[in-house]
Amino acid sequence: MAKRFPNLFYRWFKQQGWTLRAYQREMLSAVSSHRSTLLVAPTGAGKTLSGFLPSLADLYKHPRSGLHTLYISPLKALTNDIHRNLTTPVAEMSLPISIETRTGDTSSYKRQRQRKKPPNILLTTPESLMLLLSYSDGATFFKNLHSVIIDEVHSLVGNKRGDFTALALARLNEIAPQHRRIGLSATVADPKGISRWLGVTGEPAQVVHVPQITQPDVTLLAPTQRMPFGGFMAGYAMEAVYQAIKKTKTALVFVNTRAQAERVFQMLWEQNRDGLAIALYHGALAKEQRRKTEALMAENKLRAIVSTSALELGIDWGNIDLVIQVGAPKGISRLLQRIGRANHRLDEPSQALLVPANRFEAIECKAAIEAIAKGKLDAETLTPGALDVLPQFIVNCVCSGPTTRDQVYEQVVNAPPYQDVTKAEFDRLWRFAANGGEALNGYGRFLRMTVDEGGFFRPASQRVIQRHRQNIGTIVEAGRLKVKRITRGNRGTIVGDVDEYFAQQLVPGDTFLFAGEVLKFEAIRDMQLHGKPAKSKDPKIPRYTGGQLSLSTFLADEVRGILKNPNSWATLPLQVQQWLQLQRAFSTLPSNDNILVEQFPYRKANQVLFYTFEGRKANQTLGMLMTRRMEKKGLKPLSFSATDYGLSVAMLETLDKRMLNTLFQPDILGDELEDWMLHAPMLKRSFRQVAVVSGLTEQRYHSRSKTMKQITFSTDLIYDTLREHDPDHILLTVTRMDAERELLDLRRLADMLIRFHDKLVFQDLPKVSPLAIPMVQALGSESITGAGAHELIAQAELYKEAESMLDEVRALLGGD
Amino acid sequence: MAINQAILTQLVTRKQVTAIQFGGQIALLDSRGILYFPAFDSLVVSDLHFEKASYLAAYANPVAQLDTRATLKRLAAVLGQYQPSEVICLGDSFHDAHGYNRMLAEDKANLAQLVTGCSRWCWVLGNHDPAIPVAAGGEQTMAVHRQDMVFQHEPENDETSFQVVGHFHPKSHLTVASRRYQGKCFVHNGHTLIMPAFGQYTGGLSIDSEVIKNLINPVSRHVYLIYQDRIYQV
Repeated sequence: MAKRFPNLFYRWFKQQGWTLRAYQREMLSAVSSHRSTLLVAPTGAGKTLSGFLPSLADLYKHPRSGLHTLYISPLKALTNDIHRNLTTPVAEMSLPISIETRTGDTSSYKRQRQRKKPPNILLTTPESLMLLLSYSDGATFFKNLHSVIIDEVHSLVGNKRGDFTALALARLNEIAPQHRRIGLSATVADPKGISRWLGVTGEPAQVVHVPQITQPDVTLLAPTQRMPFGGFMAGYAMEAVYQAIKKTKTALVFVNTRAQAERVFQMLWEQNRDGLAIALYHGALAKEQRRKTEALMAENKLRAIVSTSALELGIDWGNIDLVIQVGAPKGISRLLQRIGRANHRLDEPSQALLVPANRFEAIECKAAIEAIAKGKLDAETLTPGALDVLPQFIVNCVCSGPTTRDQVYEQVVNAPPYQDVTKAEFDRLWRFAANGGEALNGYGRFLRMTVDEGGFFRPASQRVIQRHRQNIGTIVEAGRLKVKRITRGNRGTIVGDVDEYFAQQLVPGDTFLFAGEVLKFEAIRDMQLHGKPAKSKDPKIPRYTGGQLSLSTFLADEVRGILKNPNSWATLPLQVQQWLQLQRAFSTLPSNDNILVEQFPYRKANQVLFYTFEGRKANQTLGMLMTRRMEKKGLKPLSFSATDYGLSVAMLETLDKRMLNTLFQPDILGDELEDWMLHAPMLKRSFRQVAVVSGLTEQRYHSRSKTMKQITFSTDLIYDTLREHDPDHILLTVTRMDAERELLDLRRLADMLIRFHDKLVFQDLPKVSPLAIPMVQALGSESITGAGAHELIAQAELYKEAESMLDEVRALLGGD
Repeated sequence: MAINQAILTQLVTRKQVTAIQFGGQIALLDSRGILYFPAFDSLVVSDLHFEKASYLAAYANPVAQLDTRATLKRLAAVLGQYQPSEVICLGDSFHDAHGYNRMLAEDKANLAQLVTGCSRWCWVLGNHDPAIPVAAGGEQTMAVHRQDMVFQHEPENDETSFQVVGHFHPKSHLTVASRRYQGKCFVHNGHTLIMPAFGQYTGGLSIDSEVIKNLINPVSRHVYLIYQDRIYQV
């Protein structure tokens, strides 16, 4: 098969000092003999180039015009990067191949031109691909497609964006059945699952597997200062992080959230006595600023970048020699992906330093290090496709040309995540896509599709098409405001954007941290938040919705294992060891054979803690369900908060040990779940996503003069209305499924309840235990509306003259 | 007047109703968002905003009519219990000038039933509904006067009389044991009483916002918070 590899390519490889690797050879042969091929390789293996080699070789041998290869990347930034990396070999070998990118950032002029004269290789994102497929000439554009390359496939499996991509791929398969799919994936626990996703339904992709030859070298930071019990900013460790940066050529500092990125960046600059070039990178920064940072990085001009997951995938900087993870890793696969950013050579180990922000995280970091040493990975969970994506896909198909229900259904079940969608379900979604379905049927403006006698559906109007195209995608963002950094008068530059919600909380004069500096809020003008550079000791940090990761099941088990076994504590920081010893003396330690429950008085209430270690989502759900049962049992719960490690409930009454077994029971997934599902505020969060993705409400509206918040109701109200007037509406069904999948982690919760319901260890304590300190400090508790709340409010109620007045009222009413 | 001692006692025990002294009168504050003066047998409700949803349908709101129905349903329930001889709608009853015309026939019929069900129905005009079609029934006026008391949509700077107004959609919150509870509210300072908005799709303005603070100084204000279906003086 290697014979097919042109000599020109061999010579070029040789010039680079490379040889064609065995797996690259294997790829060439697999791609030519299978409809879809999955390459699973560690970072640094030259994965992306391997994906393109078959296409480059084919285009070299059979030069042609028109689209030959489509490359899909989950990240916009990655398409630019790949463009740079591909242009070099193509230019140096003088290959007759045109390569272009097409993303949301591409100018409309360029897009027009591309549709008339497509490049040989087009680099794009799932959203831009779907948009192309919505055009009436989409079929012509893709008709002679030879290959589709899907990069970072592992990040598309088991989530809504991946479902969306799978549908786009199914559509491509219909238009150009002759093309081949090539998927590129990082090392994963279950390549089989990914290969099923990558192929068409019933025909998994051929897997080419490149083993990891070196283990990364991961160390846990040895703290010199007092490590906090809670918090996520790791301020105590910044001196040490700075020293680590100083010792290396280039370091990549990963954090878990944008807020952490801003804060860590600021703290590092406070340490930065040597004026090292340390940059900041996250998704809310302006495009220009991100480009600038990327360019500086590529030119080797930076010593460190503080980044969120925005730099986690793909982008190949080549010369990073240390990855620093600040905050808990949350999952092994993610940590490995991040560590892989350092040192892109296969045969040298990557260097990484883990910096826990608090004591619990120290245990989690240790668990992760041990798991990596043992070569273990988290198992991905494959989930059925999200149904709210289907109405969007249906409208997309109809926009491209008249089509029937059956034609679209066939494509849908060809996408592996949707293989089990029944015709009946599909028909309901279709009806919703057509006219809003039951309750909404009859509102003229909701008519999206019309049908002719032959059963062919068409968009109801040009407006429908236009609105659909403006709203393609599955990423639902909270309303955002651009941030303008004011230099003089009203003049300044856009530095990025913040959540509308955060902006509304600011009053003029407030300071906040953004894009690495402190800005003083002046006003919101023309949909922009104006801020002047300022100095402040205590700026606010913008809150961003989403981005919270849950501790993986696998890592949770490892953490419990460490806690249970004091012999394994030796490698933990001394402070953490002492903390655990204190816990053992005062209360008891959690273990993987049981669940520890502690009760103690705290802030005018009783606090009950369940150390489940099942991740924030599952704990959150447990909190919502269990507090309902507590309400029924008269315990008067007030609020609860969930962390990755456990659930903490505050209540007015005292929990009796005997009652515990009636609370922590699998049957709360029956009655309480049903009950809760009917009233749950959290379902409304899911509904917001579902409403946008399915096209019920729109994120982008042609009128830009108002914020979305001003012109739409909160989807909460729509949800209530639908529930009251059309409880069987398909979108409510979809919302429920979505909540179960995205928010609740029901399966994980059920597993835990079954495993542990009769294995509870109860500790009634006089005051807060050492292990509980970080949990009771956790922010973001959810209030419970019930007897407890009313009792609290009543306690705080002012002296009422009402009683005496009521006699007068009675006298007035006395006539009856 | 259908409300009697027995019903009142029940409502008060459940904390759904509380009584206040305002403008020399006793008034009942109901957690459903209405105010009732036993002496006048008048029930006051404010900011119904009928057809707000269909107005916003022009801005891509998908559920265009159901808000009116929900508002009517709640209003019918409370009127059914009090059966006052007079109903005062304190302005912004319709979200815009065409609101009434957009109402579905069934909703119009339900509204007519409420309007004719009492001996006097006053539409106080507000900024959203400076004119209401005659077909809606009832009387239209800029203000209703009862002894020293004025019922109007927006307040006037008149220290001598007592005024009950709407317009602001006040909301408030209470923090107890570091937990925050919030909801719509009644707020007054002895001279001016601001009603909560009754309409299904109405938002709220904090009583700590400048606009409301200028009218009712936090120092001298009395706040009645509606939380769930109960009312608390906070």
